[in-house]
This record gives sequence, structure tokens and C-alpha cells, in this order.
Amino acid sequence: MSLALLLEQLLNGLQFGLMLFLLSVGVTLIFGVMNLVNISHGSLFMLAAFFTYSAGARWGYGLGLLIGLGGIIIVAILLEWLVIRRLYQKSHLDQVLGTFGLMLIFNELVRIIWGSEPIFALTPNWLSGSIQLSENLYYPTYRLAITVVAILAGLAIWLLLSRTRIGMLVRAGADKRETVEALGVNINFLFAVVFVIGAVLAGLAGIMMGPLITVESGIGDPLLILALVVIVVGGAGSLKGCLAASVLIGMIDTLSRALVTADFAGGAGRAISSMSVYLLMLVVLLLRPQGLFTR
Amino acid sequence: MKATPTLLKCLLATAGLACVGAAQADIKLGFMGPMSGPLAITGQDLRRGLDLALEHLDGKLGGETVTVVAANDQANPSVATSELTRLIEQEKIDVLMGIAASNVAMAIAQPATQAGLPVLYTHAGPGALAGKACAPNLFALGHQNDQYGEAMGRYMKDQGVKNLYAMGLDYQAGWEMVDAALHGFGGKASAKVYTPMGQVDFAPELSRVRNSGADGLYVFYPGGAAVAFVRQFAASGLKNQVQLYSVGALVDPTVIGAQADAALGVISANTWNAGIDNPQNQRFLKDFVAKHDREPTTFAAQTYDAVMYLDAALKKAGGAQDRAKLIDALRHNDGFQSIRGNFKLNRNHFPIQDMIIQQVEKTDGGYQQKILTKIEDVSDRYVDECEMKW
Repeated sequence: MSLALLLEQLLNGLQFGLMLFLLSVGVTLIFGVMNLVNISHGSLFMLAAFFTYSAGARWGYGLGLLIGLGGIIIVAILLEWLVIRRLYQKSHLDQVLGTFGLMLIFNELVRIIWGSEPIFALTPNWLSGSIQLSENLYYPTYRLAITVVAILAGLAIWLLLSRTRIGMLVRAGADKRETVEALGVNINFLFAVVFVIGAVLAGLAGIMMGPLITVESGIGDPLLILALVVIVVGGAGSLKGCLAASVLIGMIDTLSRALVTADFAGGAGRAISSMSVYLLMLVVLLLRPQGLFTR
Repeated sequence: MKATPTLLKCLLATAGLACVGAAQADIKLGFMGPMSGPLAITGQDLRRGLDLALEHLDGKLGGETVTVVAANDQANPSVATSELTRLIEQEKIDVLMGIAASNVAMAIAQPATQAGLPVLYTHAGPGALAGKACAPNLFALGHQNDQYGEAMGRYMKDQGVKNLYAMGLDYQAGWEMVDAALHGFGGKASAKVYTPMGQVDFAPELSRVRNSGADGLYVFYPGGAAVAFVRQFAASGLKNQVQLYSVGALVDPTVIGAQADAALGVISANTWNAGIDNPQNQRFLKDFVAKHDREPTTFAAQTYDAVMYLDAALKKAGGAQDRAKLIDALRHNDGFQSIRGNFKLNRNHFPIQDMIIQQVEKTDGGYQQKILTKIEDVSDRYVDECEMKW
């Protein structure tokens, strides 16, 4: 592998990892703070993409973006109020069943409203070319844009959690929920805020990924599996762990695929390449079940 | 034919009396397709092709009124076999038609054969049924799966592709489509890469293609993966460096709207094309577009064609009562005029047909598949293993 190709693959890995971070940070926050397993997180990813690109096709990208993010906030508030709120006190199995059901409902709703055929996801013109990074390395502008947005969103969420009053309450709620409640903080409101933040990040990931992948029913689901791997590896509830694990998994997944062909090691290489991230998860579960980055 | 006396009886029957036998059609057509699940779009277009054909035939097959009994196989072999039992034993269908998934086609071939039911596969065409497991009552009118890859392989060879890079989805159809193309190409690929189902990001694979110095890239990606692959291929700037070859599914009408300009220039092999110039095809195309506001898929075209095929055979056999006579008519179906143009039935009941090499180009209203050339009389590799003679 030449140096330029290696660099390009590292960039691919970083970009994929940061996208995973955007999707999984919501799941890990919700799990860490509210002790809630949310399988329907991928649906928020999907819905935001559908809102943005069906509105964007009519009224342009900018307005589509606003409608997508606005729409996902409304959906998240309603969802938390109508369903999720009832699941906080239930066991993890009930939460998985409940939110899995939500996922199926959302997938079918999308199919009823938008049909089974994928819809077109437009990109703004200024993002559709590629940028020359070195003599023989061109990189799609849009992929760089995803990387930038993911870094900005990560910074924003870190500032929110570590520098604001609401962030302080969220962290306190995650550690000592009863104490925070006893101090007169409206914990229901706090949980709703965390849920909406998580939803917006998932939605942002969906909007950014839409033009790269396929905007169709069920698109969030394969990615959610990787997000769960990220949480196991990084440790539930840890922002730093989530970032580190996302990038690690993005890199491992990308680099293993960058090396293997169909006949590599008699076909075994291909199997190992698609297993690589799960092997990592297995090792982490055996040696450090609380996750790599939790105290 | 028999409709008139029943109708007369009904008209003569006094009010309040049940009109026994009036609802009973003369031909009961079983239709099976994946109406839900991962292949739901395919099932939907199979049905659209069927409905349009029956509309064009005024609801009659071989001149007799037809009732369609639909079944959903969910692209799942075990669901399909139990649905087949229902269609045969409860519904007592005369002919079974449809089927898109190869695994379903394999699963129901034997029970259907044992029941002696005439079966017309409109889209599925697995190799085993074209070879050793060929059967007198089994007709695969759409294609043998390999015909697409075989034709594209020959075309790439004609184009002087030297360094061929092959990619596909990591499952049965993906391996077969790649192998068939390499068979037609008559050489080896410089690299063969399979990507797992559910993978949405192709950046690492595309970076490798760029660095391989390949002058031809052949891929097999259907459905959602096709949209992701084609868009990422275009965004990577590889279009100027390497020609993308595939089979019709990569850029078919269900995905091309989501791919838009990214699909321009893609060359693919197909059994049907909107531009095939015969009156029956132009009628099919016009009415399909008017009804569904987009071009028909190959699924719809093949099913439409299969209904017309059955219609011609039923006319010749004088109905479905005498199965031996119907099967003979299905074999020597000289009254059939295909929307695909050249169409012959091979000894194994699979088609010998012209494969179309097409390229995506932009028109005022959207996108179209321009016919570049035809690979004539493509059959399949399995026919020698079929012992059936007629």
C-alpha cells in the first residue's frame, strides 16, 4: 500500500468513525443518564433524513435542513412524552422490546408515507466536488464536510455537558439521581432534554449521511448495531469513551476492509474482516466489561 | 366461453336467490411474489406487470375469464411452500406465475412439479433449475440469472478491458453475478472484492479501486446498496478514471431517482429496455408510465411478457383443463409476441434471448437507458445438464 493510499484510508476511517460518534453519542448519553436502552435511535436517524430530503427537494437544501432538525425535535418531544417516559422504570428487557417495537412502527410508517423506493438526497453544489489534498490524493468535499460537522457537534456537546448548568445537572443525574431529585430539580424535564439532545445528534448524523448512503426505510438499523458496539467498547455514558471507541472502530473496520480481497487467505480473510469490530467487542467484554474508557 | 350460460342463469335467477357458480372463473391464476420484506419493491412491480397485462387482455387469458389468487412469499422459502400448498389444495389454481427470489424458486420447484402444476417463473432463474433439476411443467421465462453477467463479460471483452476489477454484495447472487461476468469475459479479474450486506460506506473499497489502475469496474449491487454505491462512486471522482459496468439492477427505475446524475454513464446488461422498438413494447411502456409515473422495471416487463406468453399458449391449447396439452403449447408457443423482441425457449425451458447493453443518459424528463448494442442469442451454461427432451 502506497503512502497516499494509506493516508486516504486513514481519512476514510476517521470520517466513518466520527459519523459513528454522532449516531452513538445519543445512545450512550441516554443510557448513561437515564439507564434506558433505546433501540429506536436509528429511526430518528432515518426520519431526519426523510424530513430533510423530501422538504429539500421542494424548497431547497437550507430549508430542508431546518425542517429536518425541527421535525426531529418535535418527534423526539412527542416520543419521549408518549412512550419513552413510561419505560424509564422498567427492566432493560422491557425497554428493548418497547423500543424495538417503535423501530418497526417507524420503518413501516416511512414505507406507508414515502413508499418502498429510496428517495433522492441532494447535496449543496459547493459540497459536491472533491478537494486535492496532495499530488495524487483527491478527497470528496462532502466527506470532509461530514468530518467537520461531527467534530463541531462533538465540541458543542462537550461544552454543553461540562460548561453549562443543564450539563452539570445531567452529569449529576447520571451519578446520583435521587439526590438531584431531592434538591428540587425536575428530573422528568431533565430526561426529556437529554432525550431530545440525543435525537438531534442522531438526526444530524442521518442528514449528513443521507447523500452518501440510501435514504430508504430501515437505513438507521445496520448502523445502530455498530453504535451498540461503540457503547460496549467505550463504556456506557462516557462521552470521551464514545469518541475514542467510535474512531477506533471506524479505523479497524475501514483498514481491515482496505486490505482484504475475496480470495485473501482462502476466503477466511473476508470473514475475519467483517468480524473484526465484533472481535474487538468480545475482547473488551472479556477483559474490561465496563468499557475501555470508564473509571 | 362458459361465461355466457352462467351469466344467463344468473340473470334468470330471481331476486334473493344465491347465484351459484357466477363468481367461479374459468381460469384460476395463482400469483406469488415477495409483497413484503426486503424484496417488496420487486414484488410490487411483478404485480404491476401482471395487472397491466390482464388489463390489456380485458381480464381474459386465452379468451377465458381469469381470477387471480395472490400469495405473498416474503422471499422466504418456508412461507412460500406453505402458500403453495394453500394455492394448490384450497384455491385449486390452474397455473402458478410470479416468483422473484431464487431461493423461493428452488424451494417450490419440487412440490409444484409433483403436483403437476404448470409453473411460470417470471423473474427467478436459478442455475440448478436450468440444469439437472429442469422439469416439464417448469418454465422460467424471465432469464437464467447468469445471462446478465455473461453478456456484460462478453461486452467488456469486446471493449478491450484489460485490467478488470470486480465487486459485489457478499451473498449467493453476488457471487454468481461476478462469476458469470468473468466467464463471459474469459479472463481473470485483477481483484475480486465482496462487501457484506448492510455495509453502507464504500470509501475504503473505492480508494483501492482508484489505486489498482483498473480500466474496468464490474459490480453487482441491487436495491438500496445500488444507490449508496453509485453515489459514492460518482462522488469519489472515479468516473473519469474507470468505466463502471454492471447488470440492469444497479440503475433500474426504482433506484435511479435516488441516484440522479451520479448514474450517468453507467453501462449495464438487461433483458428488456424501454427503447425496444415493437408495437407491443411501446404499448406496455406508454400505459405503465401513465399509470405509475415512472418507467417499468425489468421485473414488471418480464411479468407482463409472461402473462402474454401464457395467454398465447392457452389460446393454442384451448384452455387449462388438459395439462399435457397446455405444456405442449407452452413449449411450442408460436403465437407469442414478446415485448423483448427476439425470444426463444431453450430445451430446459429457459429463454434464449438478445441481451441489451445499455448506458444511462439524461433526457428532458429524467433519465433513460440508451441501447448501445445487443449481444444476440444468449443462452445459459446449464442446459447440457438438463435431460429433458421435447
